[in-house]
Amino acid sequence: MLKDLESKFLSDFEKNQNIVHKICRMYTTDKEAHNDLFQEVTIQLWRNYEKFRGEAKFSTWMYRVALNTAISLYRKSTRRIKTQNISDFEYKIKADDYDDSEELQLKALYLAIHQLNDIEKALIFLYLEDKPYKEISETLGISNGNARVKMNRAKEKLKNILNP
Amino acid sequence: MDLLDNYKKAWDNQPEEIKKISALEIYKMTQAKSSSIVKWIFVIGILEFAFMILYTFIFDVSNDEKIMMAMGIYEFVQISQYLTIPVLFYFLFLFYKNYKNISSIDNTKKLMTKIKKTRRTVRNYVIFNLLYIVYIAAIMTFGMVRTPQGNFQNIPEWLIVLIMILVTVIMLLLFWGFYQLLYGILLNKLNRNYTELAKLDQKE
Repeated sequence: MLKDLESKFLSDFEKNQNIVHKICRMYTTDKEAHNDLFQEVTIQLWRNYEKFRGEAKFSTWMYRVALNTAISLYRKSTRRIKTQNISDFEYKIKADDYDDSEELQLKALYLAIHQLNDIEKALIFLYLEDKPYKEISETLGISNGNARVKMNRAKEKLKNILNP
Repeated sequence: MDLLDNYKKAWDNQPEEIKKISALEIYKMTQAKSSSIVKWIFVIGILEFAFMILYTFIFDVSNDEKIMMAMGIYEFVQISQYLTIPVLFYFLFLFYKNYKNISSIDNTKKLMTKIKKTRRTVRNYVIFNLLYIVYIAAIMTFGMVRTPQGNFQNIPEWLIVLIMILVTVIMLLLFWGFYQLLYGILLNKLNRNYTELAKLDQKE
């Protein structure tokens, strides 16, 4: 029974792991922290998998647990991100020799997201992932109306960072 | 087209992580130990309870006992100590119940509230202990004034009271300072995010 549950979990997770990678990329700035957070999310997902029981979509459930881990359970502070070295970012672009504008935009987007606080990051992430307001308010535990208002504010803030 | 729409397109088209984690690696991760804030709160909480219970065994209190006997307050202090045992069990039960209640399936706000509640249980227990220190110090002062012992025999009553108050205050400050520092470091991020989320949920 446990074996079945385990293999179901592993295959579900493997397919949907990109969600966790995106969250880790938003909430951390170096590879080590990324892996650290990824591991903690994995532990939390597995621990709660039995309670999951397929009531929602696996991915929906994954969003919630992964965001909760990044915001409330992961111990390391992400505040230092604000002082992140921009030249690091430029260096990476040069080193990888990107010429794709979309790739550049994506990197700029992540860099801008790093400057938001943890809650704004969650709002923006759920917006980028096309989540309806109902799901956003349920995930964060705030009212629907407030989710709308604060989402607009977070978007404005992000726009200002992207285009000062 | 809105500025964000452009970036959103880039987001939607972002490639999958190059270094995909294999099922085997995921399995290994599930077996690893958690290092979450909740785990730390649990470990530190248990250590705090253990310290409060064991400190009489760690430190030699036989000399204090003799002094208390000479002052005629020993039995009173001992009975008080027995009375704190049910309080300890009550707090331990509450702590474990709150800890078990924490679930990362809850919504973010609920999860943070539960984490804070668990920590508050330990804090309340520590406050109880600090109040107990004050209580014992008051009894000791009373005993010292009534039947001065050792170095206290040749000094005026008001000075005994003053010294006892100073010693108690310093002890309380040390305890409290250490405590604030410990949880300050541990919960700095959580508190910040909690405040941020609470602000988010305020009516406009």
